[in-house]
Amino acid sequence: MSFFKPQGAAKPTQKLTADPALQPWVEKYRPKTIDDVAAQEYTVAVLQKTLTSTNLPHMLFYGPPGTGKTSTILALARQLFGPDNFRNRVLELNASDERGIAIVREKVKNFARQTPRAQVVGSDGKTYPCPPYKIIILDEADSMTQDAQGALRRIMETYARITRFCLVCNYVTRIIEPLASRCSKFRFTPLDTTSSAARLEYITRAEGINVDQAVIDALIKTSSGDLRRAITYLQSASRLSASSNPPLPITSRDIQEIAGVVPDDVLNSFASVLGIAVDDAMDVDDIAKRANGSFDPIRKKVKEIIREGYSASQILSQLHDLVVSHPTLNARQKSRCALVFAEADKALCDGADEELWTLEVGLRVNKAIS
Amino acid sequence: MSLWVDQYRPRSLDELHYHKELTERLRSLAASGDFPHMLFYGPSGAGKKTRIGCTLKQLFGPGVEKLKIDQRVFLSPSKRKLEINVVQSNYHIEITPSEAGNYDRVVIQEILKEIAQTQQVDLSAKQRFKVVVLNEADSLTRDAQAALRRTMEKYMSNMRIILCANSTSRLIAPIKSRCLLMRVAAPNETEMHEVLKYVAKSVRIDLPPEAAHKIVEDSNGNMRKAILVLEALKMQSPDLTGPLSIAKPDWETYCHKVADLIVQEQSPARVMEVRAKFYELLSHCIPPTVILKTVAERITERVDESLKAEVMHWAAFYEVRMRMGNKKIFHLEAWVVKVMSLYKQFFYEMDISSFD
Amino acid sequence: MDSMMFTTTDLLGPGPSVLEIDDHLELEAGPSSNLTFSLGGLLDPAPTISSTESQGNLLQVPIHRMLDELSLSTASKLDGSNQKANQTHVNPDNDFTLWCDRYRPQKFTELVGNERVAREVMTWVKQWDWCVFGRRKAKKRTKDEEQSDEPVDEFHRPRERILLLSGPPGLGKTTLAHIVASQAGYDALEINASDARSGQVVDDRIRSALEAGSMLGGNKPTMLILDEVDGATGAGENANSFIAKLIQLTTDRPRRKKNSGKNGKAQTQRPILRPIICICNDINASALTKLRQHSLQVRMTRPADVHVVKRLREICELERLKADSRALTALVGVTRGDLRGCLNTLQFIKSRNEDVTENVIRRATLGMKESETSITSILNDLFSPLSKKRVKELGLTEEEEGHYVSRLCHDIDACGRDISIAIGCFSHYATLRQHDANFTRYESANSWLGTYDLFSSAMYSDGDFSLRQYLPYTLVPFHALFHERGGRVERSQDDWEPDTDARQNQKITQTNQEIYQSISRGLRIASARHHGAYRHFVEMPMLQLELAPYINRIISPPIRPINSQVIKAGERALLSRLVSIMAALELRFVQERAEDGQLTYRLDPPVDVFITYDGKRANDIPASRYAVRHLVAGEVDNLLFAINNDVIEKGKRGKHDFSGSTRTDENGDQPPSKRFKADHTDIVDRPPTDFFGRPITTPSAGIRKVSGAKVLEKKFRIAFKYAEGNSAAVRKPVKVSSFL
Repeated sequence: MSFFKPQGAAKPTQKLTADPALQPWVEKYRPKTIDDVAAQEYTVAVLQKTLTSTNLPHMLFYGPPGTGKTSTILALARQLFGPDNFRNRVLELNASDERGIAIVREKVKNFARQTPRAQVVGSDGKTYPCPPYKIIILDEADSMTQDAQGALRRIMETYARITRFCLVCNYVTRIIEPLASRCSKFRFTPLDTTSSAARLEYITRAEGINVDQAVIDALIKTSSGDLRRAITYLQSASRLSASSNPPLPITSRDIQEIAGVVPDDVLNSFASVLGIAVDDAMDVDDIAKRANGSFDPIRKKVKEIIREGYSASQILSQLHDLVVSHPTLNARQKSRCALVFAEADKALCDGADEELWTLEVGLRVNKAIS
Repeated sequence: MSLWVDQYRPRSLDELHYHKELTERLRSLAASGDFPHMLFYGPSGAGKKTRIGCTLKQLFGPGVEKLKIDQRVFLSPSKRKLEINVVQSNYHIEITPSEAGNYDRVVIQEILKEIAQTQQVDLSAKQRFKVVVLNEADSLTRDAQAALRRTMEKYMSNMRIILCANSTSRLIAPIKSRCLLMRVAAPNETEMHEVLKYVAKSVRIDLPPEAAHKIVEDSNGNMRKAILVLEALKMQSPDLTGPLSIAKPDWETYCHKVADLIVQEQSPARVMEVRAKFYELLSHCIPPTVILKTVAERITERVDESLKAEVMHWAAFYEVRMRMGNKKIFHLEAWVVKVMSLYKQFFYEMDISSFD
Repeated sequence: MDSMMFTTTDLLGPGPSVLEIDDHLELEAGPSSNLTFSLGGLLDPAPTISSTESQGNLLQVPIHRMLDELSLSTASKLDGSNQKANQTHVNPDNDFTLWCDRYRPQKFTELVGNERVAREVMTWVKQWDWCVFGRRKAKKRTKDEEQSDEPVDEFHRPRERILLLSGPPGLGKTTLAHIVASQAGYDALEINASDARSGQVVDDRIRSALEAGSMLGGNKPTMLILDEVDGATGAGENANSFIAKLIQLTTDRPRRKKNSGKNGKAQTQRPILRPIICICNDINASALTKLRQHSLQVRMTRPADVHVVKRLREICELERLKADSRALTALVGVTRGDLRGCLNTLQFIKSRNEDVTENVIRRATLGMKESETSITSILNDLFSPLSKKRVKELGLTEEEEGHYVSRLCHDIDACGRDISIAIGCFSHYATLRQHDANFTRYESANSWLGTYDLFSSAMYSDGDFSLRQYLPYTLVPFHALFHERGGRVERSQDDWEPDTDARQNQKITQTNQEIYQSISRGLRIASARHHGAYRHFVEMPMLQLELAPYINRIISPPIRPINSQVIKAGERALLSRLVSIMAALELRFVQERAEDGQLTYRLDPPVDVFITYDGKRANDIPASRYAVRHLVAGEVDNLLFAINNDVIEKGKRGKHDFSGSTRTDENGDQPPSKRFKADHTDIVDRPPTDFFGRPITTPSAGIRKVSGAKVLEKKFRIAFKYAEGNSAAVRKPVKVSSFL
């Protein structure tokens, strides 16, 4: 079973990792062949062809996290080389390894330079195409420095005969143009609801846990197309439920808590303080109260939320969803709010103080709406 | 003898006073043998570290309380020496990577690799893995977080990571999705009362409800602060009955003074005066964001309703700039000038309208 | 080409003797046909000797060196003659040297202007003669008649061992230094910005060079010339900075009393017996703060325009350049007396075969880099309108005068210290007496400062220096905002630093940070002893915001300064609790003698700084009185002693089981407190000197703290030694106290 893990991790601790119960499901249910890869039809179709022709271009996989980029290339490599050749034909480097220019110059170059050894007959009896080249996978390539990327340029060309590169990244714009132009690009799209649901259901069946449709929906909603996140949440939830005695069923509330989602009632009460009508529950009194000073109630509410420990960015994104899909606000109000959200998101990314900015968002949304 | 806040800190899950549901979860996770990576988040003083400590004890038994504390030296890529304080027991290790500033990635990589590669030697240990506790995880640089991301998957077999952060906003999504999120909300007032009562009972002092109420109100959900205040009060005046005034921390009082200065007068001379005060605060190592927030809040208490939103808006605006810039004093002063100008304008308009 | 070679060797200083210099000058004198002549002169060895002879240092030039020179000059002659063949019919005037090198004064008498400065420098250098040349120099001895042959142990050095020569660029500071050096018979060793200038260099290069005598085989003594010293790194306090090392070098006490700071070299450091000249542009540069105190400062000022113009005209004549004196005066005005700049401009004009007229000058100097300006003058430019005189000098029209942006940007950029300028702007703008009704100017000034800060920090954190070009533009608006009524930035004070406020603040911050660090060290030690109890406080924001204010309140309870025997039970409990907290947190009262001789107790680490704002303590926490502190300190010591004993007991049993060191000593402070009885009744009014003869006293606590603060293990190592039974003296009091 150890080949489910990417190489490297498996070597010193094979006995320990062999225990499948302890394995993250993300690893456990990583697709084993590229046919298993969920959604990404176009990419899969193209790669299928390369399997039969055993000719592979340099590749650049990009797309949001959790859409199967790493899984695809690992599955492809495995299908090409089989478990026995995998070790000496594939080099996987990711951001947790040192990847400065020195490493590119030494490790990558050395690996790229080696002529691939002759094919070893698969111990499992199957035959693999095992084409005469090696694959270097650079995971999270967008966090490589410009210099390191620059150093790759020439290496990619020089050893193209015996080595293929596969760059995996979230943001294709962070890859320098000369590198990107040497690769065929594959865009990975966020997973649609049905295929994620299918995959999640497959996993629940395989793990023998009972979940209802609401939980699956909650998973898909909170993970927004990121299958890895959905699977991790599912595993955490099942851990929680299994560890309690007697095992409790997983609820969608559990999923929300695990995902750090702000519960609806908290959000709704915040929204109503801001003057966004929620569930038509606004009565005239409330509006009258707001008229003579909205500052203090908003600040009180914000303090409350912060004390509860909810994260500001989470509140922001949920409030955004709420406003954007709100039935009664007009387009002008919504776009004003959107502007506020955008600014706040930038500020939070820059590490701004959460309380100040939640308050800022509250006050300005309030102003934008009234 | 320790301070009360430490002496009466719960040491095991059974002793925890509030968030029973969370406690149950932690207990069952610790028992399950399938312990995930975890991320504890919540406001300061809510009890995150207490819970981490209790969970560790639940996992490994009293052995985790045998701590060694030493300094480790790491080398940055530019061969600079970084000294990091490491707290460790046989079963876990605690570090605060932000001590290394921008080089936290180095520290994280070295520590994690080292821990991951050493197997648990203690055969009698309850768990096969070791735990790495990373404090102040929200101040990890992007680099360090990226480094953490794959490591968390790779070394799952003999290491678990517990992150402790005030907020999840600054953590990158891949980390959040690899952890089980544990939100530790600040205790509410009744819960705080209970804890205070428990402490008072343990040290055999009489804590009148009014005093307790005052302390709770003052501490704003920060349990640690509440107990510190209690102890300070007790030391200052042996008798807690009767009218009490809770001394605010001095930096807070000083911030309030600054706010009063700003509201009283708006002139260049006053700007200079306020600047000197800011320098004083900064030199006392008070984080600039805290200064800005405290002063801003005090100002909102003292100005007209229509100005409050503006004051906070600019506070938020300049807070971000301050974080991105180097010279904190520039931005603090910019905000002060802004507020003064707002205030002046406000009165100017009022004058005009009163003439009409 | 050949003259190029000469000049470079000239610049290097030591090798070529006066001969070549003279020759070289001749070479310049007649530009067209003197090449052969001068080389011919070189060919003949006789002049070499005679000219060296005239300097009175015949014996200093060894024969092999003379031969070397000879062969060198022959080679260069061959070289030169080839070249000359090419040159003659192309352009006889064409030459490859910069004029400023070509017309660099070669003799003391050739120096233009500033005679006073030149003499001053010379006098100072001459003061070294006794020390450096001592009895060897016959000529000098006639002057200093009182000098005898006895070995010098006071070295007869001048009082200031360093000469600090300052002034704006292009006035000839470096030239002056070199000329004085050669005139006084030294070889000059120049170290300028192109060399590495770390503290290491002082040890490695400078010291050895100065001690070894001279470089490059010449055997004249070496004089050190440190050019552009204001750019030297290490303005900081750190003892290894270039400047600090340099000062150390000169102030080293002679012979065996070597400085304690030196890294324990086996051989004693010999004091430096050679003159050092430092050259800088900005005497107020922060890097030089220390150096200023240790050096003789000579300031070079702009020579009178008349002299400069005269010299320029001479050069123009030599170069056959038509120049009217109006144009030359204008040139001198634009460059602010920077001769180098003038010459470069003239050469440039010459190269285009133009005549020197005012128009040409204006055009040529249009984009010229202004002379490097000091921060003060830039701030002045920012905050005040351009003076009429300067307008005239620059020959600006009314319209051009209004175009301040590019001018100021240029200045700021040229200065290269935009951070200091920004801080200067910041500290200055609000002090202007200016009416600004609704603060609009202030607002925009601040937003520009903010922008500046964002740019610069982005630049430094990302290492993206392409942003640098925009930085000056963020500061220029200050001119538009404030120049109208802006008073002049005071420049009268010599020491005026634009960023004193900020720097002072930084210093205090640093001290406070150190205090925090020592507290957190204490906390860590405490937490190691108490099952990791305090470690949660160590993190910075919590320490500052929560622990620091409250711990002060906790450790200052209202205790009456009375005999510890007679206090009430309640107070007794309070006291023992206070003592145990202080002991646990590594807080101590350390006894000190104040300046007026009064004994005081100081809290260490001084956490009370953090309740002290504007120099005042918080109202609700009165500083405890001497007697109280004394009482507490004594109790703390007793407790610590008891703990140590406890640990030792454990140590005897075998293990360093420090994590589990149980605290059985709660009642331990009962017996020893009795000991206070004797002294304590009169302790309030009399500092107990006799008490301190005892083994367990505050100083010992201080020592213990220091050793304990370092590393935990260390502490216990000491304890272990004690357990071995080395110091019976310490053990004694235990017995006494337990008897009582």
